[in-house]
Amino acid sequence: MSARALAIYLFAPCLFVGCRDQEVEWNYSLAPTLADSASGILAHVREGSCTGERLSTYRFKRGEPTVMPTPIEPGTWGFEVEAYDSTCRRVGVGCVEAVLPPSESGVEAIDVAVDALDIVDPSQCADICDEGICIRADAGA
Amino acid sequence: MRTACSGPKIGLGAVLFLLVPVLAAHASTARAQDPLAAARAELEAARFSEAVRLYDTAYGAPSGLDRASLLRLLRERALARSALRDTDGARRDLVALFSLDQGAQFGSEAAPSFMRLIDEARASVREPLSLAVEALRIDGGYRIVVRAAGDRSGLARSVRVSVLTENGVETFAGPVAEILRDGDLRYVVEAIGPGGAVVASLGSIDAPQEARAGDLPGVLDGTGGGDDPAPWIAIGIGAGVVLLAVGVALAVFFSVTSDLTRPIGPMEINP
Repeated sequence: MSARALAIYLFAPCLFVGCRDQEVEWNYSLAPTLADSASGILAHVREGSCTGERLSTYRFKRGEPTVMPTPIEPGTWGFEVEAYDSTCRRVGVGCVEAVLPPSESGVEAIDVAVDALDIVDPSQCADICDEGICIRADAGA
Repeated sequence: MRTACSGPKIGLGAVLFLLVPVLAAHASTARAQDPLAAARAELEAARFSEAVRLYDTAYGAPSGLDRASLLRLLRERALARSALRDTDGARRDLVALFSLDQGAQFGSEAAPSFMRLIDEARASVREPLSLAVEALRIDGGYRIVVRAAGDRSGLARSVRVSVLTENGVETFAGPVAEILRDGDLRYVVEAIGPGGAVVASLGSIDAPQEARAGDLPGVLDGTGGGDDPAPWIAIGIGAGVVLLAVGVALAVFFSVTSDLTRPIGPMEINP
């Protein structure tokens, strides 16, 4: 049986009953200096690399449940995590690239190390900052 | 009609040169009136790619065609595609044509290679596109279930059930229509195809299908079941099939993974 025939044989049922998406853990760790200051988290999936266009963004308060990210197509993706302090100043960032799906790349988990920024700029949040989460939709955090 | 397989010839070129202004004027007039006329003009001017493009536009439109014009479109697009050496495309059009009209004829001017394609396509269509309808009693009305047969080309894109009432016609979309109504039912079933053309029908406004309440079997509500065990056997078999299908679906779902990846997180691992 050819590889194409095998693929059709295996995946044709997915057209009718759906198939289980593959899963991969997406973790982040904060630099020790951020442990006390980080309050809000902004996580992005970027196309192609850590400098690619943002595919999706998830914002949540540290320690609170996150929204389940949507499934991602095969390819290389940048997984970025930004940390904001309680006044919505961006205090840390980290990013790692990963090739999906895990069944082909062998990636076991996406571990992002969030490093503290040397220079912390003033908050860009012009509206309400709720424990590191800027309420304004387009404020970044 | 020029045959699709005619190659460029000097004589033809001279004729076309003389006819260009006439054809262009004809084409622009026709284009304003009827997309098929414009396509036909392009076909006759041997601009086959443009002809196919116009036929495709009409074919993909939600309305604008009736059955006769759809037949004409399929016939002429097959010719144009054949001229472009798109044999597969021409064959698809011919199969669709013969599933609508098994007696469709082409003139003797068609090239021998095209005639062979016609014969092959005609022979491959064993049954014409047709509709079968089942009317069932449900609580408070009727369920009309419509199935298409012989639709090798996927021509029946949607189904319309029109119910004739005292106040006019009430229309339902989809292959299953549930119609709440007392008394007998008079209805027309139509399959709608490319360009909005009716590609198959059962009944007409003048001679509709009829369902009489007293003559029909019921569906799951027991109105038509009586003491006959056959419906319950059928229901039991149906339930078994459904359970088996659910089991297979679950097995597939859990055993086969897609190529999509769902990240779990982001989760902080050193809080």
